[in-house]
Amino acid sequence: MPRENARYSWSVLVLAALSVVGPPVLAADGAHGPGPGFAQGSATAPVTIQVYSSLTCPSCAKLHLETLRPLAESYVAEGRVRVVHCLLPDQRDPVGLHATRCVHAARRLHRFDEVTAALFSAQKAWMLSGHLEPILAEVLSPEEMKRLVDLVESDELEGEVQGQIEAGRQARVRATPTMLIRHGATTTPIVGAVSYGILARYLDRILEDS
Amino acid sequence: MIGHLTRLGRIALAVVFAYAAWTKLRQPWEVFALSMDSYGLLPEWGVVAAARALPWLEMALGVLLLFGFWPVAVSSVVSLLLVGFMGAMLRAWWLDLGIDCGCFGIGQAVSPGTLARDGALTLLSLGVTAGAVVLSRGDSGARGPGTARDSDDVPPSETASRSPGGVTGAPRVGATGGASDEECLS
Repeated sequence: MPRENARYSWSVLVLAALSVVGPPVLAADGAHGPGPGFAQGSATAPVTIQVYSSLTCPSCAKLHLETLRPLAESYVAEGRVRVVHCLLPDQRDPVGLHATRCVHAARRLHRFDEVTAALFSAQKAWMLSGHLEPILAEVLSPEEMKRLVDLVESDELEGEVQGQIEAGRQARVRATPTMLIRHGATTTPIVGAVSYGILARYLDRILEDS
Repeated sequence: MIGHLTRLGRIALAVVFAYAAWTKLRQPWEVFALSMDSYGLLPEWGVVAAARALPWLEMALGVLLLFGFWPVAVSSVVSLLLVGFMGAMLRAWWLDLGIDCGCFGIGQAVSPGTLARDGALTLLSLGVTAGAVVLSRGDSGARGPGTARDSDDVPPSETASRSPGGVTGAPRVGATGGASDEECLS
């Protein structure tokens, strides 16, 4: 029996020692700087989410439509969270690259949200057909379509497109979608599509802490 | 020999499980919940329940493995968990989700490297379970029917001291079983 008691005591001691842990320590990486991107929300929001996504990635579409859109209507609209989007197209995929240029052009026309949502919603269709125009025409007026096409065909956007790709490289993004959730000096990288409910729980926690 | 290998494997698994639990418990549970959610396998309530419970389960299993409590049952549970983790990781890799494995906190992608590591751990755990079962059966068989308690629960010294003449008397059949048990438990 003494041996049993000793083992039990050691178990309790080890559990107690391992339970006494320090405050939360998350990845804090200076490489995760703000970088260029399409910003939504207040610049003074306590939490910034840098989202790296690709218009051709199914998980990115899921994240954008099911998580980031509701987030924009709640946390972002309330000024508690700022979201900065960076598009990282596969440069070997001409359709994806063209779609990325369309989004950059739409930003200039102040139609980023509508165009991005339309492209993510109809992702499979335009990836198969290679034709973006019918999808864009649903959310843009004929005049806006003409200005968008002009912008895409010019070289004006190339610097922006490459700037975001470079930002992704500097942030060492290895897969899309990646979210870098920054609050204070702490950055939490989350790779993959996550549900709005779980993300909201984490945001509530860090907003409460901050 | 089996006893020594089983004990070494058990301690290695204990360290890995305790470390995995510690990396999760040192950060808010919501971070682990986000990692789990990215697998897309569980509904929201399931992710919340698992993210809250799993690190503590891993810690408890690590401690139980380390001190050798109920080796057959504990190593079986550990093996089941690892097989489940491997299945989830293989699915994520197959679907090319590019997500973090969430095994030891954040920042480790599901990759051939992490799959190989978890595969090795799963094999080790299955080996430990098999070893514990063999030792347990050997012990039970040696003691024969009518044993009051399962061999996993009884330290060998206790078995010996309870046996009439177990220490100073003539060697009994149970002494052989005790030796196996010692290797398995200590």
